[in-house]
Amino acid sequence: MTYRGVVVARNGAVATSQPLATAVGLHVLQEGGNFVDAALAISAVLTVIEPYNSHLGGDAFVIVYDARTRQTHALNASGPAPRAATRERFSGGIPVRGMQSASVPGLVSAWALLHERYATRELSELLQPAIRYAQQGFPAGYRYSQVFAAHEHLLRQFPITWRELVPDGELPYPGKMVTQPNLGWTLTRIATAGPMDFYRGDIAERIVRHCQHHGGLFTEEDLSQPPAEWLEPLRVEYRGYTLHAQPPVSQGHILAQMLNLLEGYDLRSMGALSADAIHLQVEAKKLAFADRHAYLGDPRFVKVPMDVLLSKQYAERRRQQIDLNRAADRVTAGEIEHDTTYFCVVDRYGNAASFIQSIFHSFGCAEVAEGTGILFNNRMTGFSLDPTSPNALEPGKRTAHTLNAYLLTRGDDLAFVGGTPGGDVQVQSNTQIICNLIDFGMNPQEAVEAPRWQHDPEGLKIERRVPVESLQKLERKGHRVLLLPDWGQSGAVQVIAVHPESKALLAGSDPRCDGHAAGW
Amino acid sequence: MRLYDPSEGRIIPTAMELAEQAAELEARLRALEAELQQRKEPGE
Repeated sequence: MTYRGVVVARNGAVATSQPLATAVGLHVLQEGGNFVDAALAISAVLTVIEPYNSHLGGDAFVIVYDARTRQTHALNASGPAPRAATRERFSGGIPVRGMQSASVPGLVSAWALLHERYATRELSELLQPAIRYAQQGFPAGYRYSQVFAAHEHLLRQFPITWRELVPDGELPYPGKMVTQPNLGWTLTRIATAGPMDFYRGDIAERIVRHCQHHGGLFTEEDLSQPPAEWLEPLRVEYRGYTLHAQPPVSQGHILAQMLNLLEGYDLRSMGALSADAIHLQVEAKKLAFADRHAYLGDPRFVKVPMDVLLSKQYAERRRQQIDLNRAADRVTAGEIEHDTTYFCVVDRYGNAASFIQSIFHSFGCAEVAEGTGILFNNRMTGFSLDPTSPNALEPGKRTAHTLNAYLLTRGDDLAFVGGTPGGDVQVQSNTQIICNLIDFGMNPQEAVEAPRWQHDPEGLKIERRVPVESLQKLERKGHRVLLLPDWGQSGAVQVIAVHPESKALLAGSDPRCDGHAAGW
Repeated sequence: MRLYDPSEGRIIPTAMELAEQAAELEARLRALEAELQQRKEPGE
């Protein structure tokens, strides 16, 4: 039994955090577009209708499955720190809001690379739904209204942002039409002049001009090198499946390490939501996060020993530190309350895109560049100012990144595509979903709806739908159990599974957000 | 086991904790009232 039905389709499926974005993606697929055509249209629309989650001034990470070659590829479109961003400049700390907390935006460069390699439609055509929603308006959703109301104080501190996002000065109510003419101008400019205009053209000029007047660090030189690049995914085997995860500077390795650790236990016989299964997942999380703090940084600046971290031998050694009956005291710094959006698409040919885009915190740095409608990220706050950290701030360096999207294959066949927003909770949610799908045999919607936990220095935060017997046992093992509301875990998971025989697509979407899956 | 409010980002206090906090506040209020009374008396 699930709260929502599983979407089952054969010709294509889409799962996003917002129903209007899902509709746009489905329409592209039905009109004959492929997975990347749909993904680009969805990605652009999300920046208009969920500006607090992701924007043109943010980053993206994508994993694609190419059905023709049966290969996977990772796209890293996270931007580096501007050249003027030295540790000395930020000796008093990196500000959480304002243009100085923004790294070079990567999302539009991701569009360029994806379009160049896979698209079958012109970018100008794929951006039309987003342009229409920006220029002619879209009706604010309930979550949209709630998020704006919760951040009114923040938005009012940035007059240009307030003017761009709340043009009539009245917070959006559900159903109120919202237009963003300047964002419409920027999207139209990308559609007509091409995505490089964002980095080297009129759009770049406006961004740099804004920085000059508002204390931002971006120069023409910073923007002139679009940051997106194709990389090889991390790959680990898990119970007959291959996980394809984001390589550094993403923290996708944590997901891979957690699965490596868990593979040594028979979770299935312990049972879904049993205290033992949850305990092992939480202990695996603690160990993997400890490695992140010790090793993860921009591989162009520091050596990340990924071969060792992902080896089965290393997992075997680390597993010795897990006590089946006792929670480890050691915990690592956690981060929550971050906003991001994740979506996935599978087309009729079996190609898939696992796509995550973000501006980090809700509304990112909270600053819109004048005349562009572009809201910028505050990803600079991900850097450490400790010079001994592998993630220490350096000009031109990328910060360790919470964003990660994954997919799983069985042999060379696509099996699952999934992901979620949630800062450090992302990899924790992803692990639970993969265990739900593979170990506990749940369908995608069951896997998404099952109660989840998230662990941080405050304790083990866990939805109170978990059986009370398990909660009591977890306490007896030494976990500090903090009960979340029934649907209070911070993920917003989207998953599409491919049936191994019929190749039908089974899509699930998280009721914890406005998520919506559809297919045809 | 405690209740956690993710929207506020805090552990929800128990009834006993709230009662303790109320008792502490009441004691502080009484002490302040007494101090105020003492300050008033010499001039009256």
